[in-house]
Amino acid sequence: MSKNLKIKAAIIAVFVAISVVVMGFIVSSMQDELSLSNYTADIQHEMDDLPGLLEASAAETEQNTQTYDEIYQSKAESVAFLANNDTGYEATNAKMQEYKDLLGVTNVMIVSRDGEVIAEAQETVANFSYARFNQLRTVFETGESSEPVEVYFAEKDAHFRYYAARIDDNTMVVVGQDPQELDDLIESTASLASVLGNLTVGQTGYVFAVSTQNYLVEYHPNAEYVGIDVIEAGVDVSDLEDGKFGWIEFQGERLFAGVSEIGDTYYISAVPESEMASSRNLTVGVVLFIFFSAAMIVAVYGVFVNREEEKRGYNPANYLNMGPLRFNRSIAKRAVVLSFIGFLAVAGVTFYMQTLFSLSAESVSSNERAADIEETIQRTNAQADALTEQYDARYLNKTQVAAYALEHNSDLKSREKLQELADVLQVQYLYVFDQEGVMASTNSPYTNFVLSENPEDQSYPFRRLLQGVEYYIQEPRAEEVSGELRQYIGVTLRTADGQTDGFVQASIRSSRLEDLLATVNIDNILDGVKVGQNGFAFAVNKNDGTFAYFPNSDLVGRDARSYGMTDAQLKDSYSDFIKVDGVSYYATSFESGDYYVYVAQPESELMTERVPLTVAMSVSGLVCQVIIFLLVSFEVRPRRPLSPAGGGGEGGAPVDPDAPDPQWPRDDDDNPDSRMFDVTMPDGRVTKTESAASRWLYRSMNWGEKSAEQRTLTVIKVLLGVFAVAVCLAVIFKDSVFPPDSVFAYVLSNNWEYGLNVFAITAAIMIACVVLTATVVVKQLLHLLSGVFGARGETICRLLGSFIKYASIIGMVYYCLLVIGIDGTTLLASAGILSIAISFGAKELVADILSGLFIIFEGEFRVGDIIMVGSRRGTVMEIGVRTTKINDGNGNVIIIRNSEVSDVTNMTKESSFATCDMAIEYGESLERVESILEKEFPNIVRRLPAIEDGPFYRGVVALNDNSVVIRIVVQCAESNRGQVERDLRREMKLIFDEYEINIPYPQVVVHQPIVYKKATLAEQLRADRFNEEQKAAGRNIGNEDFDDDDGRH
Amino acid sequence: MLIGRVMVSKAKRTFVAIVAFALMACACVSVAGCDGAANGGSGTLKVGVRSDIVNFSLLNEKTGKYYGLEIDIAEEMAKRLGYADVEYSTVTPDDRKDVLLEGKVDCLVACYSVADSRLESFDFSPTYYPDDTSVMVENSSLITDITQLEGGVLGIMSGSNAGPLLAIKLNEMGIIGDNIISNTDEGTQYEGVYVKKFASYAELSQALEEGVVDAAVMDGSITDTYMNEDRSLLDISIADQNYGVATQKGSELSPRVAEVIQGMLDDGTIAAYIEKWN
Repeated sequence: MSKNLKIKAAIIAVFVAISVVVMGFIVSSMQDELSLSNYTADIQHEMDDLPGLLEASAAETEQNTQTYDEIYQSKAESVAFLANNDTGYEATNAKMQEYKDLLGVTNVMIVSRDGEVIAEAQETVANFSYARFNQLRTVFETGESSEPVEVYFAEKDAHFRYYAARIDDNTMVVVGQDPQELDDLIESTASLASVLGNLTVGQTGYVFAVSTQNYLVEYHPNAEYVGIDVIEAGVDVSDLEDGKFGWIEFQGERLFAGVSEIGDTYYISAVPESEMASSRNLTVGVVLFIFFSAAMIVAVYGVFVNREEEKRGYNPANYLNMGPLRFNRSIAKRAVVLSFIGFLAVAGVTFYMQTLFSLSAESVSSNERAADIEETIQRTNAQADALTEQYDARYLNKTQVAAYALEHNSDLKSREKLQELADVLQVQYLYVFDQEGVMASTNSPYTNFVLSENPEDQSYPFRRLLQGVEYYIQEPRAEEVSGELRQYIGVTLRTADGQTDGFVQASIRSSRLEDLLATVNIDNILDGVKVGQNGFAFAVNKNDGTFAYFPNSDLVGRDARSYGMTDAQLKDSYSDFIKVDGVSYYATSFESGDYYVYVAQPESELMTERVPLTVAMSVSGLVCQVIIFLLVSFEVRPRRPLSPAGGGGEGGAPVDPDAPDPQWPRDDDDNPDSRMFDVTMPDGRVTKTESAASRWLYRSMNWGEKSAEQRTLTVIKVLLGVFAVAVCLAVIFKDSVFPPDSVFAYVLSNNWEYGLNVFAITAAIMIACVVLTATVVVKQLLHLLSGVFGARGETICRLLGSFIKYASIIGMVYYCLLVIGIDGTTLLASAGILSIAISFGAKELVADILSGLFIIFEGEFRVGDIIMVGSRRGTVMEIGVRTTKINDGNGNVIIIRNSEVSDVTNMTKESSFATCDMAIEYGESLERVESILEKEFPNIVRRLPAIEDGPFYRGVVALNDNSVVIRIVVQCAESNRGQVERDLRREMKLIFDEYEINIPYPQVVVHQPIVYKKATLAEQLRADRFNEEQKAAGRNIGNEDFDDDDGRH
Repeated sequence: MLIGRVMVSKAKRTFVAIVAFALMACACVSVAGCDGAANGGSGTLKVGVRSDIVNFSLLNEKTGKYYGLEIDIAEEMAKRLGYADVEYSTVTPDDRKDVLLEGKVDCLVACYSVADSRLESFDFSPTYYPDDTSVMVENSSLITDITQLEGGVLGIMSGSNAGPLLAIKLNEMGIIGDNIISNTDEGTQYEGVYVKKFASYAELSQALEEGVVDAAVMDGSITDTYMNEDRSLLDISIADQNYGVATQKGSELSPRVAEVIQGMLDDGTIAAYIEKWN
C-alpha cells in the first residue's frame, strides 16, 4: 500500500471514528434530553397531583377518625343514658365490666369532676386529675360528649383514646379504647405508603418521602431504605428544595428527581438512571452500530478499490480532474449507492428502534398500570367487604345497647325515650316489635306496621327473631322511594327469665357506607386514572360489548364495535393498537368482573419522541456519509516523479500526471489458480465472480485474492455476523444483561399480539439471528468433525450440514410467519389441499418454482456463470422464478424450465482448456514429432494471443487401429475455447505439413487379378486324412461346443 | 454579678438573685483549673457538639457522623482557622461545661447560648443563631395562655437554663411569687408553680404526653423534635437564647474563633447554612 493511500485510509478511519463518537454523543444527548423532558413532565404531573392526593388522604383520615370517634362518643353517651334511665346502673367495677362487654370497648370508667376514678372495668393507667385531661371535663360545661384525648403510656407501651360523657354534674363516664383499629385503618387508607405506593414515574420510577427535619426516609418502595439518612445515602442537602429538578445520588444509584416540599416532608419523584440508560443504551447502540456499519462499508470499499487500482496501475478513464483533486468515477459510482443505502438504513433503523422503544416502554408501563388498576379494584372490593362487616358489627352493637336498655327499663319504649335513645346511639329510627310481630312503639313517623308473612318482603326475615334468634343483620338495600341505602338490624328482646319478648329494630341510613360502596363501581375506579400525559383507562362490558366507562361520557353505554373496536380486541390481555372514535391508541387490557378494562395511550403521544430523533439522526448521518463519500472518491492528484530522461534534478520536464501508467493495463491475473475472475453480466458490466469449484470448498479465500467488492462484502458479512452474534448472546443471556422490564425482555416475553407489528418483526429478527448463529456454529463444528473422520465423515458432515441448513430455514420461516400472524399449520394444511388442485393443473409450475428456489438456495449457479445443462451450454443471464435463461454465445437465448435444469455442469472457472488431439502414423517416429513440438510451441503462443498458458503436450492418449493419438492442450478463457481449439488444430496441421509428418487417413489400394491353382486328388485325400487325425488327437483340447455351433453334432 | 444583662426591675432584684443562685447550683459549675493551655495548633480541632438536636447537630448512629447547622458551622470554622481536620465529640447540657473546662474539647458548638453566667467561665463568639425558649403544651389540656399555668407543673431539662429564665419571666408576669419554697434535683417549687427536672428531653416529652407536667419548657431549636399535631406552643417568648461558640476563657483560640464567626456572619455563610438547614 502506498504512503498516500495509507494516509488517506487513516484519514477516513479517523473521520469514521470521529463521526461515530459525534453521532453517539448527539443521539444519546438527544435521547436523554427527550426522555428527561418526558420524565420532567411526568414528575411535574406527579408533583401537581401530590398535594391533592395528600389532601384527599388527610381528608380520608379525618373522616375515618371522625366516624371512629362518633362511634365511641355514642358508646360513652349510651352509658350515660343507661345511668340516667333507671336500667340498673350503679357505679361499681362489676357494672363497668358489664358495660365494657356490652359495648365492646377496652375500658369503662366513672370519673369524678376532679379526676378521681369512682369505678372502672379494669385498672386505668391514666391520672384524670392532670390538666392533660381537661378536654374530657368539658362535658360538664357542654353536656355533650367530649372530643377524644389520646395518650401514649410509655411504661405500659399502651395507647388509649378516651371519650367522656356527662352523667351528672359531678360524674362522667369515660370510655377508654385502644385505637389500634383506627390506626390500622389510617395506615391502610392514608399512610404515606398507601398514597405514594400507588404512584409511578416513568416505568420504574417512584415517589419517596423524606422528612425535612431529620432527613430520614419516611417512605420508600423498598422497605429497607425506610429510616435511613438520605444525606448518608448520598443526597446533597442543597438538592432538597421545593421545585428542584435534577440528578441525585441515592444509595449508589443515580436518580433523576423532582422534589416537592409539602409540610414537613420532601416528596421526591425519581426515575432511576438505569431505566433511562437501558432504553438509551440499546437504542443508541443499535443505531450507532448501523451508522458505523454504513460508514465503514463505504470507507472500506473506497480504500479497497484504491488499493486495487494502485496495484493495477493508473487508468485515466476512471478519473475526472478537478483542480488539485481528482474524482474517482469507478469508486464514486458504487460508493454513492452504498452511501445512499447506508443513509436509508440509518434513518430506517432509528425510526424502527424509536418505535420499538416507545411502544415497548408504553406497553410495559400500560401493563403495570393495568396491574395496578386490577389490584385497586380487588383491594377496593376487599375493603368494601371489610367495611361492610365493620359497619354491621358497629350497628349491631348499637342495637344491642338499645335492647339492653329496653330490657332493663320497659318504660323506655315511649316515643320520646326512643327518640332520645336513637339520638344517643346515632341511629335514625328505633322500632320495638312485640312477640306477634306488630310494631309496638317507635320514634319514626310510620307507626302502624306488621312484619310481612311474604318471604319476598323486606321485613319477613325479621320474623325469625320472634323464634329466639339473637339478632338479624339485613343487607343494606336501596329504599324504593328515595333510592337511599338503608339498613335494618334487629336484636331480640328478652324478659328477665330469658323468654323472647319481641325485638328492637334499628333503621340506619349510612351515607358513609354508601359513599364507600360507591367507590367500588368501575367508573369510580377508572375515573381519574392517568397514564403518561394523555393516557387513560376505560372499560367495556363483557356481555354486550358496550362502554361501561369512557372519559368521554357520550360513549358510555354505546356499542364499542360501532366506535371502531373489533371483536378480536375485546378480550383479556390484549396489547396492541386500537382505534376508538377515530383516535388510535396503544392499549393493554385485562379482565375484571364483568368488564374488560383497557389502559390506553394516544398513539400521537408515543410518537413525539421518534420523529425529531429520526430526523436528527438521518441528517447528521447523511452529512457524515457525504463527507466519507467525498473523502473516498476524491484524491489529491499526485505529483509525478520527474522523468529520468530529464537527467534528474529540477530541470527535467515533468511527466504529465494524467498520462496512463506505462504498466496499464497491468495483468493482475498472474496466478492461474486464482479463484476470482471477471465475468460479463448480461448488461455488459464486468464483475468479479468466484469459480464454481471454489464455492463449495470449506476454505475461505486468501484476502489477497479477493476483489475490492468481495472484500467489502466480507466486511459486511463480518458486521452482520457481529450483529447476529450480539443479538444471539443478548437473547441467551437476557436475564443477566437486561433488566426485567427492558424492551428485550418484553419482546421475548411474547406478551404482545401476533401480527404485523414492530414487536413481531423484532422477534422475527431476533430469532433469525439466533438460528443463523446456531446454524453457523453447528456447521463449523461439523466441519471440524469432518476433518477427524476422513472421507466418510466429510460425506456425512456435508449431508448433515445441508440438513441442518434446511431444517433451520424451514423452522425459522415457520416461526416468523407464526409471529407475524400467519399460522404456518393452516398454511401447510391449505397447501395440502392446494397441492391436490395443483397436481391436476399447475403441478409443473410449482415444480419450476421450487426448483428455482433450490437453485438459489443451493447456489448451483449464479448469473454470469457458464454452465452446461444437458448438451446446452451458455452464460446464465437470469434465474427466474419459473425459468432460467442462458445465452449460448451466439446471441441465442436458451430458456430452460427450472424443473428441467438437471445434470448441470458449472464450468465457471477462470480458465478453460482447449484440447487438440492429433493422430500420427505408426511409422512415424514419436521422438521426432515431440522434438518438433518443443521447437514450435513458442511460435504457436506467438500466433495465438488468446492462449493464456501452454500449449502443453499431454502425451499419447490412444493407440488406434491406424494411428497414434497425441494430445496438446492450451489454457484459455472459457469464452474463447471454441475458437482457440479451432486455431490450435490449424496450427498443428500446418506444423505437420511443414515437417512432413503423416496424418493417417484411409487409403484405397487397387490390385491386379491373379489365377488360382486347383488341388490335386492326392492332395484332397491327404487333406481329409489330416483332418480326421487332427480331430481325434485334439478331442479333449479346446472347446468344441463353442467352436462349432452350426447344430451338427 | 451574673444578672448584669438581664433587665429586671429593682423590685424583683432579690428574686433574681435567688434565681441566679439556683441557676448556678443546677449548672454545677466546676471551677477546676486548666486555664487555657493553648492546644489549637495540633492540626485537629476538637469540637464538642450535641447529638440529638435535629437540624442543628444530629448523630447518625449508623455512620457515627453528625449532621446539621452546627456541624456545617464547625466544619467551615475549622477550615477558616486553618485546621486540617475536625474531631467531634458528643456533649450533653450536663457535661458540656466540664468537657470544655477540662480541655477535652477546644470549643463547643452545641446549642450553647450566651449567658452572663457562662461568660464568667468561657469566651463566646458572636451569636451565630438567635433562638428563644418556648413553652409546649398538650392541646387537650386546653391551656392556651401562660397564666393558666399558675398552680401547675412545668417540666424542664435539667442543666438547661430554660427553667430559671422561665421563672424570671413568670415572676415578671406576676404568676409566681418571689420565693423559692424548695429546690431539689427533682424539681423546684416556686410560689405558684412547680418546675420538674428531667434528665432528657425524651423523658420530658413523655411526661407531657402522660400529663405529669402541664407544660414543657425547652429551647426553640429543640421543640421541632417533639412537636406533633396534638401539641402547641404557647404564644410567649420567655427569653432570647443566643447560640455562640464557646471557648476557654482567655484562650488564644477565643479571638480567632470570634473573628471567624463574625466573618462567616458578615459574608452570609451562616445565613446560607441556616437557610439550608431550615
